[in-house]
Formats: sequence, structure tokens, C-alpha cells
Amino acid sequence: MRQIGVQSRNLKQQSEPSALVGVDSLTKVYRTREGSKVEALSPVTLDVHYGEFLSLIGPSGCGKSTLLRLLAGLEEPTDGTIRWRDGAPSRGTDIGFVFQEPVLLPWLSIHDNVRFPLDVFGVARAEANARATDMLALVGLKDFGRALPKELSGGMRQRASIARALVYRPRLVLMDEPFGALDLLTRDRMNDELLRIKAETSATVVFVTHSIDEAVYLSDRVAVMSPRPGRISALHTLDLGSDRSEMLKDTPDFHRWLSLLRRELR
Amino acid sequence: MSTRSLRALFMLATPLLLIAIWWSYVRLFDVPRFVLPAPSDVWWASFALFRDGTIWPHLAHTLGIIAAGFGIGSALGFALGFVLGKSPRLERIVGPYLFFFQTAPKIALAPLFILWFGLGLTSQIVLVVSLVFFPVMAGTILGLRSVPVNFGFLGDVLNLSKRDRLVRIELPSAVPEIFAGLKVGAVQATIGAILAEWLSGAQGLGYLMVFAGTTYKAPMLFAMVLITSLLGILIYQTVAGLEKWLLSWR
Repeated sequence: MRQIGVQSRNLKQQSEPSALVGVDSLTKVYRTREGSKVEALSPVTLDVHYGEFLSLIGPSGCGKSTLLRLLAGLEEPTDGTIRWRDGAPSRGTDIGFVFQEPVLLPWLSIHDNVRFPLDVFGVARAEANARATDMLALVGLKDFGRALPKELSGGMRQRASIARALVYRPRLVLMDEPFGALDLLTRDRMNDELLRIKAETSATVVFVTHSIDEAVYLSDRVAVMSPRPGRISALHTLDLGSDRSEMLKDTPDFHRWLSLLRRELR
Repeated sequence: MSTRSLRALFMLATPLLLIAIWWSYVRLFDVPRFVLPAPSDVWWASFALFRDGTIWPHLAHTLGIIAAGFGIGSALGFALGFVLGKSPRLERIVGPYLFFFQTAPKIALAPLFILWFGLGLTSQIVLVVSLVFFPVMAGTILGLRSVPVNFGFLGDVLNLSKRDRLVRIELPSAVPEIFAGLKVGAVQATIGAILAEWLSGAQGLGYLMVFAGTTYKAPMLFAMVLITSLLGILIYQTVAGLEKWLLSWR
């Protein structure tokens, strides 16, 4: 409990009016089957700002995914609170989640997969169809709506899964290493796509990755996490501007951030 | 010549060759007709069965038993498979008994069914049901158990109700395994129906076989083997075709 006191003081400095959601002294303790406790997340305090792209970066086992699952409401914290500025989100409609795997339903066409959340939430069919079509165009899959998931490449499938997470206009989009399974070239292309999609939808994104390059290239802010117990060891606001493109990767600023983060993760 | 036309040629040539060997064997060694009839005799016996209309009521009877047994067996198998697939604890309790029942040879159970349900239709349908039931149940359990974990996460994220989860994710996801069970069930249903008629019937293709055998009508017996095989293939292909249509996404 002493630790929480220390973190709370930090919170007062961090809290800004633009926070979409404020995470305050969040802890998560799992019980193993033998009865011993595993601290997945020691008190974590963090704000997510409106419209920002925030990356969580760190080695495996540092609690990145746990934090994401807590934000999504998929798990209950052991201690601490999550405060939403516009009231508690309703589970489902307010959170978009992109997994590492596309998790498309193989018996539905790409279009129907993207429309799937709208069907579940009871959106009228005509509107659902229109929104799914728009979203497919946005992620560059306009001509692939009728295709089945198995007929698309890994990158295209992941685009469809991003479209599915955005189609119901969630207040917060959580991405759990969405490009981790893709090859490097596809990954670079998907990063550019994601920046463009984010700019067009002005979605708020929390993005988990263990690629430093990816985190620096995409993010407005980067939270560095360290393991055992998982906590945020540093939080950086990147001064790389909002205009990101391949060229950025050759600038000294970009490399300065890379080496800084690499040092912190060591 | 392309591989495809070569394969077609083989598919045509192989049975013709077999028939030729069969025919020469019968001719050369002068095999008596009641032991092994010539292919032509079998052909004419089959033709006669259809021409004089002998076969129709029997065929209809067998098809009726297959349809009823397959329908009831699949429905029961699906229902129990669903309950057990959803409740692993119940499956642990009931599973061993069902497994025991399944391993028991059905031909050993057939006389019991006759004892319980008489020599009529009921015992015949019960035998078919007992054969169809298990593979469909096993397929349903397997299908519901092998829904990818990720689909569960998707359901969590979208906060799906139990019903939506079942109807929109779990059942569609289980369809391939259920169909695998149905296909086995369809073959078993055909065997079961003929076996049941063989044992207790006064009608049906099974009965007609017994009749042909006991009266030494070897060409007719061979014709019946041919017809029942074709029937089995036809029924299997019907289910397989339905599967292909429903599972075109695979």
C-alpha cells in the first residue's frame, strides 16, 4: 500500500484535462493454482489523452497485455481505479480491440466480418452495411468485401480486423501487438496504413508492442514498462511532430529516441 | 496426355478390366452359376429387379428406415452432444457409459432390440438410431470443444450474450465436426438398416438379400450387393454434397 501512496503523488502531476481515461494505482494480482500470488501489475498510474496514440512497450511479462485487458474491462483490477471522463464505458460498444491474430470468423465474408459487431449491437441492416462498406474502403479493402478470410494475405486480414474494431466507433481502441505476426515489409506498410486510418478517424489508440521502431514511429507518447512486477518505468512524449512518413526514420531525432528507449529497456 | 484425362481413363479401364477377369474366370473354369454368376447374369438380374418392379417396395422400405433412423439418431446425437459439449462435468459422469455402449458390437445388440421392440419397424429403426447416434454426438462434442480460444476473446470484447455466442460463433464453428459425424452416421445408417432387415424383416433390401441367398439365386444376390453398395455411396454423397455446400468457406 505504501507504493500506491508514492504513485498517487505522481498522478497529480500527470492528470490533465484532456484525459479520456485515467488509470489510478492499478494493480493486478493473479493467484496460481498452488495458491501463491503473482503480481502482474504493481501500481500503475497513467492517463490516456483524447485522440492520442499511446504505446506500451516492454519485454514479455511486463504486464502490457494485462493493462490492456483491464482497460477493456475484460478483467477486474485487484486494486486501484479506472476513471472514464465521460462515464463508465459499456462493455462491447465502447472499446475496440485488435488482437495479435486477426480472429476473423472463417465462415463470414470480409464484409460480414467487419459488420459483425454492428449486427450484434442491433444496428439496422442498411446502416450496418453502409458503415462496413465505408470502413472497408478506409482500410483499403474496398474490392475484397466478398472474399473469405482464407483468401486474403495476413496483412489484409489484419486490416479487416482493424476495420472490425473501428466500425462501431469505440471511444478507445486497444491493440495488442497487432502486427507481431507479420513480416517486416508488411509490418512497415501496415504502420503507415494505421497512421493514415488513425488520422482519418481521430481514434484514441493504446498500442502494445515490443518493437521499439514501431513504437517511436507511430506514437505521440510511449510508456516504457518493466517486468516483475509490471510497472511503468518511464513515460515519454515524443517530439517528432504529427507528420510521420518513411523519411522520419532517417532523421537524427528518430534515432535519438530509438537509442534512448533501447537503453531504458535494457 | 494430361494427368486428368489419364486418371479418367484409369477410372473407366479398371472396372472394365475387373469385369473382364471375372467373366473369363467364370467362362474358362466353367464355374456353376449358383457359386459365381457371370457379370452378364448379375446385370440381367439387376435389370429384372427394376423392370418387373420387385425392388421398389423394398427399396422404399429400406430408405424409410434409413431416413427415420438417421433423422432421429442425428437429432438425439446432436442434442446430447450439445449438452455434454457444454458441460464437461456431466460428460465425465456419463461419458464412460456411452463409450461402453458404443464399443459393444451393434450386431450383438440387435437381438436384444428385437426382444424389446419386436420384429417390426420399431426395432429396425432403433438399431439404426443406435448406430447413427454416437458419431453425431461425438462430432458435436468435439466441434463445441474445438472452438478457437480467440473466438472466445472476441466474444468477451464485444460482450456477446450467451445466446449470441452460441448462435453466431460456437455453432457455426462446430459445423465441420458435426458434419464429420453425420457422414459416418449416414454410412452406418445404411449398414444398420440392411442389417436390421436381414435379421428381422419381411421387407426391405436386407430381406431381399436373405431371400436371394436362401433360395440360391446367386445372380440376384450379387445384384443386391451391387444395389446396396450404390445406395450407400449415394446416401454418403448426398450428405457430403450438403456439407460441401454449407461449408464452402473452408
